[in-house]
Formats: sequence, C-alpha cells, structure tokens
Amino acid sequence: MSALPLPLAEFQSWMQSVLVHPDGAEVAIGASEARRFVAPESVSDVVRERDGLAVAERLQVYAGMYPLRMRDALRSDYPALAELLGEQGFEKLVADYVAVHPSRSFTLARLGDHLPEFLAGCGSPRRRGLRTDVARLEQAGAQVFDAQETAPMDAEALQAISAADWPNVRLRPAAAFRLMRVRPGAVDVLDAVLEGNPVPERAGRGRVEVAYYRKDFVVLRRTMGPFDGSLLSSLAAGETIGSALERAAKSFPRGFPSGEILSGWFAEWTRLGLFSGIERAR
Amino acid sequence: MANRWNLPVLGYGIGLRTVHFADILDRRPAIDFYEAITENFLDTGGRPIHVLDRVAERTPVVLHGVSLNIGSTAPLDFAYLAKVKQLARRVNAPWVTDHLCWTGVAGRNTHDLLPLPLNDETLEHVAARVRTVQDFLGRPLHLENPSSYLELTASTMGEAEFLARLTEKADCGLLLDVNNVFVSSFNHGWDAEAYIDAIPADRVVQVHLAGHTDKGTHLLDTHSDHVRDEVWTLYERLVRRTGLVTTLVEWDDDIPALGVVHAEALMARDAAARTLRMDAADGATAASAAEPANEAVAA
Repeated sequence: MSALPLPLAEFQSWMQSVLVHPDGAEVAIGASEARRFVAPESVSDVVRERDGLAVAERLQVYAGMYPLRMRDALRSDYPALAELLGEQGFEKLVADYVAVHPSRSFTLARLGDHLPEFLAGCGSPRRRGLRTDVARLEQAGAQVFDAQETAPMDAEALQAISAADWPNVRLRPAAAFRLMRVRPGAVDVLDAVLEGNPVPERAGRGRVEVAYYRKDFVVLRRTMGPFDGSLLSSLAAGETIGSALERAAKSFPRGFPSGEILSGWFAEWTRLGLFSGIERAR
Repeated sequence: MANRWNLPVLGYGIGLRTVHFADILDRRPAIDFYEAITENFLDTGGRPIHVLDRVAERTPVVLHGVSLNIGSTAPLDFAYLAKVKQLARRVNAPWVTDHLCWTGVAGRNTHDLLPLPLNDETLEHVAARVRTVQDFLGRPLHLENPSSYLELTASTMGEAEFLARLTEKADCGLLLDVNNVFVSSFNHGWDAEAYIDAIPADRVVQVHLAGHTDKGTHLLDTHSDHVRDEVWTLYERLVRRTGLVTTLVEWDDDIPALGVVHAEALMARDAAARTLRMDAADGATAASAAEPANEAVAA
C-alpha cells in the first residue's frame, strides 16, 4: 500500500483499477488491485467527501459510464450480433470481451477488432459458428466503411488484355472490398435486422461467399453464387485469372459457365469497383 | 479584449456530427465554423473524411480531441499525435483542442475524461507535456476544463487557479466550457461566477456551450439538450470579460435537426451581442454622467 497523498502515477493506477472493475466502484475499492495503492478505509483520504454523494457513489459515476461506453461502441459496430444475442447476452459478451481485450487505441472504433476471434472461442459450440460469422460480416462492413478510397480498375484496360495474356493476369482488390465465406444463416440475421424482422437463429447448411464493397461512400453487401463466389474468392486472394478459373472448374466439373457469363461477371465486378488494378504475373 | 495571440474569432459554430452530414452537404447552411471530433476522422478513408474535406473547403474547421491523455503519467503517444498533425494540416485547422484530464494508463484507454489532482506536481507534469505537444503539432493547443464528479484531496488549488497557472506556464490557451463550469460547480459546491471571474480572459480562445442532465444528486454533462438559463447567464458574464469569442454549441446525444443546433449557436451570437451592447450603453451612460463634473473642472 502506498503512502498518502499518492504520487500522480499511483493515483492514476488506483483510479483506473476502480473504474474498469466489472462489479462497480464499491466492490472495486476493496479489490486486491486497488488495495495495492489505497486501503478501502482510506478512500476518503484520496477522494474528497462532500454532501450529496458518498465517495464510492462519486467514483461510481465514472465506473458506471465505462461499461455503457464499451457496450455502445461495440453495439454500434455489431448491431446484428447485439440483436442475435439479446440485451443481456450482449452485455455479458461485452463485459467478458472487454476484460480480455480492453481498448488500447485512441479510438473506440478499434475496440471490436478481436471480437470475431473471441466469439469463436466462447459460448456453446452449437451457436458459436453463427455468432462468429455474424460478427465477421459486420466487421467486414466496418472495414469497408473506413477503407481508403482507391481508384477503381479501368474497364477498358480489362478489355484490352489479349486472350493469351488473360491466364497470367492478377486483379488487385480495392481497399474497400472484402469477401467473407460464412454460414448462410449469418446473412439471414443481417437481413432480418436491416428489415426490422425477428432474428432467425439458424446457421443453415454449407457456406456462401459474401462481398462487401463501397459505392459513393455507401457500404453495400452482395451474396455470391457458388461458382462466381469461388472464382471471386480466388481472385481476391491474389491468384491469377488462369489459376482461379482452373480451381473453380475443378470444384464445379459439370457446371462450368460459358465465356459470355464469365465476361459478364468480370464486367460486373469492374462496375462495382471490387478491383483497383491489373498486374501481370512474371 | 481579443485573445493574447490575436487568433481569429471564428464566430458561432456547431459540432460536425454524422447525422447532419447530408444536410450540411446539400443545404450548405451559413454556419460560421465547425468543430470536428479529432479521433472520428483519423484512420478512416471513408465518408467521414470525405465530408470533412468538403466542409473544410468552404468553412473553418477546428479539431477537438478526446484521447490526447495530456494529464496521464503514461508516455505521450507520438503515433497518435502524428495523425492529429496530419489531419490538422489537411483541414487547415487554426488550432487543436483537447481536455485537461487523463484517459488511461498502462496502455489502456478508458475513453473518459478523468479528473486530476490540481497541485504543483500535476501542473509541472501537464505544462511540460503541453509544450511538447505544441512543438510537435506546430500549431496552438488549447485545453478545455472538463466536467467532473469528484474532487481529490491532493488538490491544493481550485480549478480556475490551476488553469490560469497552467496556461501561463505552458503558454497555451483555454477552451472554456461554460456548461462544464456550471456542472462541476454544482457537483462540488464551487462558486461558478467566481470561477468565470478568475479565468485569464485573454487566454480564452474558444468557448463551449451545451446542455446537461439533472440526475438529482448531481449534474451530468450529457450534451443532450438545450443550453440551460444558468449557463447562458455565465456565458454573458464571461463575454463581458473576453469580448467576442469563438463559441461553439455541442450536442452529442439525442441530436436534433441541424437547424435546431444552429439556432442554439445563433442564440449565443445574440447573447454575446446583447451583452456587449448593454455594456457599451452602460459605459456611455456612466461617461455622460461624469461629463458635467469634467466640464465644471474645465471651467
């Protein structure tokens, strides 16, 4: 325990330990972390007593706002997850998560950076996958929102590539583009929240590719089909067009699309601004 | 009286908030200046920075931070400061502000404006850091008095005295939040008028006005309502000392339509004009009352 008055550094360590304690200021004052600096019976030697509010109540004004601030920040980034978990479930998740991953950034926008991986390791295995996928989708949307603006790929440049060169070309993904492979139920959750409908809690079978992109600073989402999703996934991962088509063809041996359909997809992806440039493999 | 650096009086502005983005871009309202929350525009290449760029092209923008952590014993975050510097340059901010507080230690950010013991140790510590930050940013840093809900026994001086000594020692300015003066004075039993009278008027570069919430046992600085009458009265008292001063209305919760927030800023303009006109009239009356005596002496 430190001698009073506390030096500034010790005062700040003490006060922070009280404010971020999950059980509130009254309990935190007596917790071992706080007692390293101030004995519970000496708290009024640190915080001035005044009429109106007791010392613990004054500390609680700050301590009470801390979890609310964390909850609001995470709810703002993960609104569908919050709906899926319900008020109590989301509050518990926030408390558990923030205890492991407190904010270490100047901005609360980074608070939820580890939430999808945190979800993947907690809760019942039956529900974990859907919840994690909902969080991954919402995180992708937030990343696309904040991504730097990059000039989209020039459609003419794409058309100018000779047939011989096509297999060796790579498409550079735009900064504001993410492709996520998730359980289809995760998309249903996001759709239900957007439309104000009750949130379904079915993971669904298989996986779908979901693209997030941005047009005129508005974040948009599109669920891809099995073939174009697979192809787009390979391209976004940096594979050449030739290699990506080969991989897709192996996955769908009986349903390879015509050249016309493929050209249409590439034209559409260019129009949506999913890619920012062309690179030729060496 | 102007501020001692002759920094410009930007007029009567409002905080730049997401809910007003479309209205601001579409209608281009005649708002004197905007204040942007610094951290909301760092590390983003999306719509917020796009809107800020468009706004800054035609209207002055000042930056108001919440994560400088100037009072913390943790080291200054120069990576963060580099981003602030870049943003200030990008929007040509005439100055940058943050709060007299600490927000965290040991690598953690509580995202709260936490109170400091107001004594010589803190004074030396904060003044040295303010000078470092001003040198690094290459533009003025002004500190705001936060609202507070507890006082520390280690304090050896009042907040107004601390601010006066700090701004002198660090040679920085003040962003005086009049609502915070009122809220803290209520919560701690201070004399809000004496606080206003003790502030070094020539260091007040900007003023904040906002609404608060009465929680029964204490006032909470919520920025969720109109400016209260008592705060307007304090603002008028301050303006008598500072003269025209850059004034901004903050509204961060239950944010109404742009026109409502702007109207509140225009009320500040009217209050300042009325106060200074009345003072000028009082001065004229006093002078004319004194004239006969002067004439008699002359005779």
